Amino acid sequence: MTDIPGDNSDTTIIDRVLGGDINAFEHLVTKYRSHVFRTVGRHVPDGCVEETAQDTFIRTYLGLSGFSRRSGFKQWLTAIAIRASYDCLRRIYRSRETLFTDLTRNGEIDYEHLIADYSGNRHVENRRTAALKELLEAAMAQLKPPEKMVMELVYFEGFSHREAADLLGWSVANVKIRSYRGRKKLNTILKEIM
Amino acid sequence: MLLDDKKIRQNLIRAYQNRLEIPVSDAWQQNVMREIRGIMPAGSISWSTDFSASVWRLAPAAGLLLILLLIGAVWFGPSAETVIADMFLQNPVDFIFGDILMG
Repeated sequence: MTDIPGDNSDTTIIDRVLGGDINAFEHLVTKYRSHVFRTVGRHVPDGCVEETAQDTFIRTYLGLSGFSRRSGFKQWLTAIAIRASYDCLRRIYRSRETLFTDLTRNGEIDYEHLIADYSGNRHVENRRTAALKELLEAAMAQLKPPEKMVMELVYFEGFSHREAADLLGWSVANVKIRSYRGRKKLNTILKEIM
Repeated sequence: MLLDDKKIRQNLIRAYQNRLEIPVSDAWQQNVMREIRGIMPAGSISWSTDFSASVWRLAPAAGLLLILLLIGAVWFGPSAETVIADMFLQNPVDFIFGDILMG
């Protein structure tokens, strides 16, 4: 990795990369790789995180000349990571194998208690959270990629409809519709399981 | 709705956030940089991207122009250039451009 003397702000690094210093891009990778892994890791299965994070940085590099600089680089990068995650989800959805019936047949776990209770006991909670996480992942896998993505951003991460729309590059109306459908569908899935 | 229940939502959010962070390895970063070095420099990529973007940006204007030309063609009939071209295509051997110019 080449050293960047003096000001090593994102803008300076971007200018250097656009000027032909490809190695300077590694500064951006080093600086934001954890952020990208965290962002991507919230939306795609563990096995796809590395690939999607790599895809994010390649898309970022390819689109660098079009970066408007009106918003911050991190915000722009986050939107690219979200869109790369969404594309990955679509690929996975097309070749999915997990079936909803696999969940409903499992009568050994009391999902109703799992989803509604909170014991306060740390060990019990850790086990419960892990089981609930598994349930949630399986339930969310039943949603179509647009609904899943919007549910994750709006319901679980607390983004507003406007923010989610900006991140995904969609209209606010589209996000609202997907959010409504996603909630309804997830509600039905969880009710059927419990 | 089940998802509107505050307690259920908290539990679901807790489960959602309970993901192990995947460690970033140096090998991964090296691989990313190898891929990027294999691509053209960031500043020089734009011509093809810009070209395709410009083409699509011009598509509505081109469509509108085409419609206007069609209306014009129907409205005014074939122009002098079209008639000359037609004459040339029908009999290129005997076609003398000078005759037309001289009347």
